Amino acid sequence: MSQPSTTNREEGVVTASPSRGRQARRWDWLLPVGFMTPAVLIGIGIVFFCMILLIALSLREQKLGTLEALLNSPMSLENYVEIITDPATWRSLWISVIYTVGTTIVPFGIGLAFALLLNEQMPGRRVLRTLALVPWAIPGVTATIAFMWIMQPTYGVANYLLRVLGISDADVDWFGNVNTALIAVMIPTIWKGVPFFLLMLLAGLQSINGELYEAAEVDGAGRWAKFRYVTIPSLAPFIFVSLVFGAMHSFREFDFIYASTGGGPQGATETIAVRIFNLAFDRFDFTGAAALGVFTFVLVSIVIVLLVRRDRKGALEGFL
Amino acid sequence: MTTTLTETLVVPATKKARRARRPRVNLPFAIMIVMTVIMLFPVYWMLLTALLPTQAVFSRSPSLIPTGEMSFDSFVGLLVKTPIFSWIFQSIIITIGTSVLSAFICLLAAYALSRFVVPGRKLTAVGFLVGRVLPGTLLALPLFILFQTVGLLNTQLAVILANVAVVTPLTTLILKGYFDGIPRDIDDAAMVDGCSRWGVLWRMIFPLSVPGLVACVGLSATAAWTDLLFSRTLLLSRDNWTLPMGITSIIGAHEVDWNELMAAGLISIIPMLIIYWFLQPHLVSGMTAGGVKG
Repeated sequence: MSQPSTTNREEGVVTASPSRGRQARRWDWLLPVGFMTPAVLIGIGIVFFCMILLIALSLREQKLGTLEALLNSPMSLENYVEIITDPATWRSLWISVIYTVGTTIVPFGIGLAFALLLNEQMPGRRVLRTLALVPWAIPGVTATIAFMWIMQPTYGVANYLLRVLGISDADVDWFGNVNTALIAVMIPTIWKGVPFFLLMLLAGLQSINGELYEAAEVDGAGRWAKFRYVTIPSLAPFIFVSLVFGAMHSFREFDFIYASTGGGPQGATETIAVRIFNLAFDRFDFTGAAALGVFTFVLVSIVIVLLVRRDRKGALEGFL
Repeated sequence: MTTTLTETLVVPATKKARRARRPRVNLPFAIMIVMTVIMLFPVYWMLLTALLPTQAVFSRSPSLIPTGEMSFDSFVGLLVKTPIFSWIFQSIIITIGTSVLSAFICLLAAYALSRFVVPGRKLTAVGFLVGRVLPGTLLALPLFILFQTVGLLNTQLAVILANVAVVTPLTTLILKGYFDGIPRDIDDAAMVDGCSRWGVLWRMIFPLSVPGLVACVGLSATAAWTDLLFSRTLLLSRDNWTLPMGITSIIGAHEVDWNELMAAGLISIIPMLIIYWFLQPHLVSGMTAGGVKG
């Protein structure tokens, strides 16, 4: 940050020693390798190893056991046949798509509204911004229980408001009803997702050069025209990146669903992420879960490759 | 502020009339207030439920503004009925372990990525994206088997390693973006003076990058504190349960005691608010690390 203090420290601490310098240079190539090793081992190594193990497991006949027992079990493609012919797999995939799209588009819209508002001059803007970001600081499980209480059938304030407003008198069991459960688990996810979009889009709005607006005004642009022809195009990379990252996050979401419905009722909220978990740790079908995992991995990889191909301007890479 | 030149020249009368009709009402401000109140309602409701007596909580027509007296009974009940201190303690161990280990690892890796030529940037980008989008549940199964084989199952270390593996790619890239902003001249000057690479990192870069590190520690601490998946799969015995696990177990109970549940929820928020306080100035730079090229 402050240049002067750094130079002072430099002079004060470092003592020149030519022999040490030469030695350091000889071993210089080792340094980046050494620095990278822990991160590569734990960040990439573990994940890579897990994927290999997952593939190895998915090709076995035995369903459950120790690593040794599983790896000694005969090879078979049966798990994949089961996964692909099981209608529940495709239903899960569909639920994942609905959940992902819903919990990306809705918080994006709310976040955009917040960002546009916060980009205006207003009293207490910093405080309001901090308050609007509060859902970010609420753990997923905690957000889930808060909404489970609000949407509780008998004493929940949501049903109470519906009664007061005369919309519905029924004690809707939001999380327990097959028809409403998916919407119910989406609501806390949406709530918690808003701050991410708010921050990304606000950063985008603040990076727009004010001169563009002035130029548009000179050309006689009104509020809408300025929004349509200056804000949106300038914001486009931020919109793209935030939607992609948000969707990725939603797709892998586990906490909200597991803590509230566990995938039920009758699989109505069982996204792929939850289904893999349930197969492995509820039904103890390790190799079947592994096969579904590999299947998901392939699907996800295809989508990512397509996205990166489409991203000709390098917006995604710019964020990496 | 944003009225156009033409408007001022052509229609001054209407503008004056409009201003007279609604004196100094800041519409964005008003909408913002309403939206913020709605956003904060769940937290407010949680607080209210935890503090109100049971009969007020279990009411068919709850009052949105508290009228009766408040108490900390639900916190006391939570203490008596659940091993909440043990849950908190376990969560703290895992959170500290994860953030310290991840900070150390990503500091080294980010420096290497920032100062040396590392090939395969596009490939790294794709790998990172795939890693970010893969459901954690996909990793939970092989991790379970891996830790079972090496005998780490049911230890905090297993959960710490799993969290670090998930969070490190992200924190490394954020910190790399931060290091890129520190001029290389500093490294060169120090090395001319005989400082080793390690010395450069430790004496020059580290003090300068404290804000970036704070962001990384905040993010990894957040991931560890809120983690449910890995503590659910890798910690088997009840004694090792973390706070999110404990809260989930209360929901699973036969009759849910909502005020105690909300009290537990509030406890889980407190450390997050502390992290959030330190992290807030860095959230934007953290999320937009590297900036946009497009």
